[in-house]
Amino acid sequence: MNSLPNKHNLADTLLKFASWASGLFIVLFFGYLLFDITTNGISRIQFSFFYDTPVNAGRQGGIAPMLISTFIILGLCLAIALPIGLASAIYLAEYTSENQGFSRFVRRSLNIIAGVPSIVMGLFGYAFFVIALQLGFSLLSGALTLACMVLPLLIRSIEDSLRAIPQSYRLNAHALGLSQWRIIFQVLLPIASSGILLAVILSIGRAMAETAALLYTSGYVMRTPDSVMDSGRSLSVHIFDLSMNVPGGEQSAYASALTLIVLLLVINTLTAFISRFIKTRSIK
Amino acid sequence: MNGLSIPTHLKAVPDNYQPAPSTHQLPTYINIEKLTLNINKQTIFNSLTLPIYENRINTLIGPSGCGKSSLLNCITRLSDYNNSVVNGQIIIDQHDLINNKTDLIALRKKVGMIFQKPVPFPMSIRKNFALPLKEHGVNHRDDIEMKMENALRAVGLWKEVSNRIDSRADKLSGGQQQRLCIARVLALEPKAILMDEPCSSLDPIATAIIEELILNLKEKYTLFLVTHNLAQAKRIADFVAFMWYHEGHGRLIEHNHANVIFESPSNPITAAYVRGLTE
Repeated sequence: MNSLPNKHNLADTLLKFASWASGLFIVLFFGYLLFDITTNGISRIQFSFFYDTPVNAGRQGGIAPMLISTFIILGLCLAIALPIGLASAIYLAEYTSENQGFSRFVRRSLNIIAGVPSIVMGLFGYAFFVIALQLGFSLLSGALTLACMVLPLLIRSIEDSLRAIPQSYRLNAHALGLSQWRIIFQVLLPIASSGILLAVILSIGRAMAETAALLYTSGYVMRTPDSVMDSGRSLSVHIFDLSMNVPGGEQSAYASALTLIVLLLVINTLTAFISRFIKTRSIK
Repeated sequence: MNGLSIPTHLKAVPDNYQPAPSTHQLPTYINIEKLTLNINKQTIFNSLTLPIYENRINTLIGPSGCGKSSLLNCITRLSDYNNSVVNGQIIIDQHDLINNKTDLIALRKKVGMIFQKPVPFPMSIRKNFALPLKEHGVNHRDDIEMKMENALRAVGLWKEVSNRIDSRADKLSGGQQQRLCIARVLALEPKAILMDEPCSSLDPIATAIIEELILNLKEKYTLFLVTHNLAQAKRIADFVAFMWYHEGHGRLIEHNHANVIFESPSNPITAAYVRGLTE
């Protein structure tokens, strides 16, 4: 019935099956992960879990101080990294050519920093922010260390999305007599906004999941921080501590992990929503 | 370019050849004098002198690579962005703009530029006008609205887009996009408009509309048009300048009234080129 050579059909079918199977594997794996965390953690989650302080090393009680510390660290980290990241990316993409010696050097350095293990970054943060700058074990030290960790990712992806914009937009904007400032902020950044958003989401994910670097810099005191100079425990550190150092803390660890995942999903959705709002406003 | 098949008997341009000095007693708006352009240490054109007449359609023809577009870029100083070294003078309103003191933003308001491929910003039609207008000091919403409407009417686009001013400009058709780009320049009330093959990416109907528009524009503006399309130059040009690629760089061969260039050019290369390099 089929006049085409069978061999080709077989190869096509195999390839199709292989890609379908690996897709299925990823979905199943993620599904299992979510299922495992949910079934083990859901019984601990009540409304009070989010506003109570931990009791008995976290076996009972809630995670309110950790949530507060996490948000402060994340907020500070973005507040530090985003302006620097944007400025550096704009400099690299708009004021240097891709093959110029200096920008090549900066780009290579960023790639190396991006590959540094987080435990090493933690040591650096400890030596530099905690000891040398005398910031102590504090949320600020943690946020600064995290900012150093997400900066390479942020800069490289924002730079890439700026470079992906065709040169003709810049030429047309210059020909209309637009100032460099206006070209960057009102033409190029709005065009690149979806790429920038993706960079921010990835950075948030990286910062929220980070544990090792925070152990050295923000500490793991469970009390609610009074200021950014206070030590505090992030949610990821809390999960680590419950599962490694607290016998009988597994359920709380699962519940905290579930909270972390849901938080990530919520923040991602929210960021996408905000960026769409900014984009439609800057376009109209 | 080097690969161009130039009839052998036309290759030689006498070294001392100078295009006949213009004797036309017309007011000029742009005076290009002894302009030399080097990009990445390669000479694009050498000692080029060309007057651009006010309220006329000045066209520039010649083979690809002889530096026609680069010449337009020099006039708007877009040459600043590609390692260009420019020597000589370009005089507009008694001011030589080939120096560092030139206010580029003011220059580009005075001299608008239309490119081969229309590039509206991927934003609403309104924003496409608001951005440049705000840059040049028009901040009031009603003023922007009025200038946008006038400009869109001038290019005959108002009726087609008046009900979708807030939708994206890059969703318009190619011909509409090019008219939008012309309108965006007109809204800034320039004195001169440079066009770099404005019809080459358009279909014949859109081309006819743009040509008609160009003919109407010369009442108010000085036009300088680069084109590959000899028929187009014949249809609309008042003056024609002819550039040729010679000894590795572009050179102005002849400049005269359009009918002189097309009917009785003085240089044999011009004659062969306008006949379509048939020999």
